[in-house]
Amino acid sequence: MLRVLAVVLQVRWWAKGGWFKRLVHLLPIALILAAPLLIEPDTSLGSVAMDIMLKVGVFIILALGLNVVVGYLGLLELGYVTFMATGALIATLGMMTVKTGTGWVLPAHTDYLPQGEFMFDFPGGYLVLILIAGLFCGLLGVLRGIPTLRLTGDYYAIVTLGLAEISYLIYRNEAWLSGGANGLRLSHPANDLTPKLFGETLYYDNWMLYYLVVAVIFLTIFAMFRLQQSRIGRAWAAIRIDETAARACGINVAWSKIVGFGISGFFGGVGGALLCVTSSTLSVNELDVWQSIIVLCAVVLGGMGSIRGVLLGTAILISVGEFLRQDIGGVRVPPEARYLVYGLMLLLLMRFRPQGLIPRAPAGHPPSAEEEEEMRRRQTPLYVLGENP
Amino acid sequence: MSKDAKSEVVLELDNVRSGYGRMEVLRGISLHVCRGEVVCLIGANGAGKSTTLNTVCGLVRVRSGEVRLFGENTADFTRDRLVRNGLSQVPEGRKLFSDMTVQENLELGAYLRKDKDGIARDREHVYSLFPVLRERSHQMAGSLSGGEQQMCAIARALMSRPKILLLDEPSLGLAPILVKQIFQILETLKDEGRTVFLVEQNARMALSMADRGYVLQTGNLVREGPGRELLEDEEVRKAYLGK
Repeated sequence: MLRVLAVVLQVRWWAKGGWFKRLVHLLPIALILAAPLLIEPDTSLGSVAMDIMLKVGVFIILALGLNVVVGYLGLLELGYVTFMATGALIATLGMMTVKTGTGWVLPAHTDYLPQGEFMFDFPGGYLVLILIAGLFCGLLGVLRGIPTLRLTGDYYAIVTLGLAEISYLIYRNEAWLSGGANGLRLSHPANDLTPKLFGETLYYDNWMLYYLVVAVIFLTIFAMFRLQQSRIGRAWAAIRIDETAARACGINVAWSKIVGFGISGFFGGVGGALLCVTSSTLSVNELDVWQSIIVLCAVVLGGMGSIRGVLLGTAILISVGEFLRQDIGGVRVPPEARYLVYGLMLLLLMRFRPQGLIPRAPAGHPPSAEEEEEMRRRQTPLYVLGENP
Repeated sequence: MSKDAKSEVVLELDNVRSGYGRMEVLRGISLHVCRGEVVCLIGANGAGKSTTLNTVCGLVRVRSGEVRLFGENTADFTRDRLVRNGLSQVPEGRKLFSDMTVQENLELGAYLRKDKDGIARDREHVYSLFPVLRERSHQMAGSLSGGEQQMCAIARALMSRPKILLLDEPSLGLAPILVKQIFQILETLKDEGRTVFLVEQNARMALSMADRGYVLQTGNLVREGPGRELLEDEEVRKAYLGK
């Protein structure tokens, strides 16, 4: 039964591996699921741990989404923050939208909330918002992708950097939409807007938010594994290695890229929608281009194009960064110090392991026993001196 | 004359002009390739041989005239549409997926096909054409020698089961013995009844195996005829065969 499930879900390590291998893989999953038994969110240490885990979780979703463009398509993407900010903004505004006597109202300022019925205040309303944020950002990714289709390398990076800066400036200056520099707050004195799921408030002190993030991560990983093995995944790999050759094989390069941009944007939006709830505020001020760079660093650290690598890289980079923001034994490290540590980590990486901590699996599958035998049997040199005409 | 008079025209260039920027390279050339024919295009450096192929593939825009594939004007075809309609090319400089294995390169050649059994059969077939590729099937394509890479590129192009195969200088940069091997393989393809349009510097080899040949000189076609005939032609001999 389990075996059938493993085959259906394409979990190779279960279908093929021995018991030790299965244990190695099951252990972290069990630990993640059992975390509530080990951590008390009410203690100060527990709340820090919870905070870090949530942040890492959300950034894993973001990094896996970015990995589609950076790892699979091989483009240097610096504008990912656009999707994070847009997704976060859509989710936050959705939660704040109120139905009054005169119609739907978007609250202009955080200190004024019209009384009435909240638009997404129904069971599962937040999940719907996550989906809307994802789909909208997917569409945004497609639209943004169309003018950049012919760009590669530095040029693609420059354009995405510029677009990210534009979206940042728009969000920061259009205060009627995003609250501007003040941001939008979900935990409001007059009316707590923190979304609920199955009757539980999504807040770090209960486990609903945690399990929501974990569930989304599992879905994302599953989607990524399937994408890697699909036709479109092979097309992406071909485009990454050589676009001309991919065209010569009949791959529709433009279409494949656009699908990739859309999928990447979708997960960016989903991650953004989760991000605003984990911090219970949305301040677009913080969502600047550096956030793109941090997600990019996580992907590069782990290994571009490798799902396991991205998981590990994000876990290390984000938890180190968050850890440095806490009081460590009464000593407060300046918040900018983490960039110093990131820089050092990446320098060491480039020097000693440029392919990333867990690089992507080499192309192809190893030859089967029969194929190996066949290859040995036919081991003839291309030509033999003296024998050929 | 020959069989091509009645058989179907696969590829046709009708008074095609094209070039780069202000420079016109092809000054109105007309040629055709019929089903089951091996046609070669020879010419000196800079005559416009590669431009002809690039124009057919849509890499260089046609300025006037028409390129027709099975009678359809290809002016607004995308590259994948060309492959879908049966035109497969071996790009100059091979352009393999160097970080993928030989087998994966072949699978990508069959990207547009969905018949698994047919793909497996064709893979066996190209392995029998190029035994060395079977030995290297799980090696990275980038680690192959130049000759093996050329074979891999031809094999990959065959995997889409093309109705016409375009080859750009298959002998480029290969040792003479490998050139000979490549041409032996082209002979095999010819015997299989495949349609091939070949652009080649090595005029003697190309003309001796081709059904028909065209001679390109500074953007104009100056001669056309059966390969053997062109080999005998006094002027062609003088200009391209070194005699």
